[in-house]
Amino acid sequence: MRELDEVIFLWVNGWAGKFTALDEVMRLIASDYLVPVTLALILFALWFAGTDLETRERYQIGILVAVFAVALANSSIEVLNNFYFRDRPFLNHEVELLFYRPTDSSFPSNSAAAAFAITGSVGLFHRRLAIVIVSLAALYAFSRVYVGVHYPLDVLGGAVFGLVAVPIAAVVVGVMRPVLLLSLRWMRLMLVA
Amino acid sequence: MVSFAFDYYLMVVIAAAGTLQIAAVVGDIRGLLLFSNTIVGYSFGISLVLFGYLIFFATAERNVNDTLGGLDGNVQFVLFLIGAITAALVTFVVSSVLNRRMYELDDTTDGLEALRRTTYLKAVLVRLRSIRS
Repeated sequence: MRELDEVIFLWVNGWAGKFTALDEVMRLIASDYLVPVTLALILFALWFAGTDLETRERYQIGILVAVFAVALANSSIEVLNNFYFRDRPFLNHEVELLFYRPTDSSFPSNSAAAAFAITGSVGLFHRRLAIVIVSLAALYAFSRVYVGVHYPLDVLGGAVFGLVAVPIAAVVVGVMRPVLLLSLRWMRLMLVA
Repeated sequence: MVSFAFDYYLMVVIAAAGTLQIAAVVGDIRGLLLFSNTIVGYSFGISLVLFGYLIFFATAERNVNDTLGGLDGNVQFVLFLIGAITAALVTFVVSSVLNRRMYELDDTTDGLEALRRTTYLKAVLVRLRSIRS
């Protein structure tokens, strides 16, 4: 499994350095800021975008699920990395590195976990938008392999962490629903929800 | 680090303000629109988002490790939150000034529903008046 992972990584990363324009696009997509900010802006837009009170409340609860799922996925990864550490690909292979050299564990990918936690959460309340977001998250995960900072299994593992966090976050938010609805009602009095 | 963080904050404020215009068009929240024409408002929103990205990514190298001046996930989360709140506050004020001729509600409709027919500041004033009386 690990060997196959490394073979796929070397094949994908093998394309890096051949087309300057493609490299620049991948560096931009793999950035710690472009996709995360875009996903956060989509959640921000959804906070205001519902056309009636019921829809807007459903979206707003969904956004809270997304925030909680991201936090849960990333904390789980931090705990896991106390017991398991995988070297970054550029430490063990001849890699065309188009990115900075991260020092944390390669498996699982935090970035993929966060992106897929948001994707899964949006999928709970806005299926059509989730299809757009899943493409963005998949491209983000792929770009991390392309630029040489993750193996394919790292981003796949990250995606699983993110997606598994969603139902757990949904249950927790469901338990806290009365308190959250009260908070939303207070925000409506302030005209911000 | 401070300059990097400020650049990030600025990008978020500009892009979030643009996003809010797009959301206001989609959600028909007229009190938050900076342009009465929805097509202009939508285009302006998209332009602001792109401009926010442009001034961040085109002005310096952004692929920097958080140990060497980049931003870690927690700092990014906090700065995004502050930036989005700033963008919302600026939009509330600017749209209230630009749409000052908009109809003033005499009821105390809750939440963003109220901003379909009036501005944020007018809705707040009506609410304050109803609390006093």
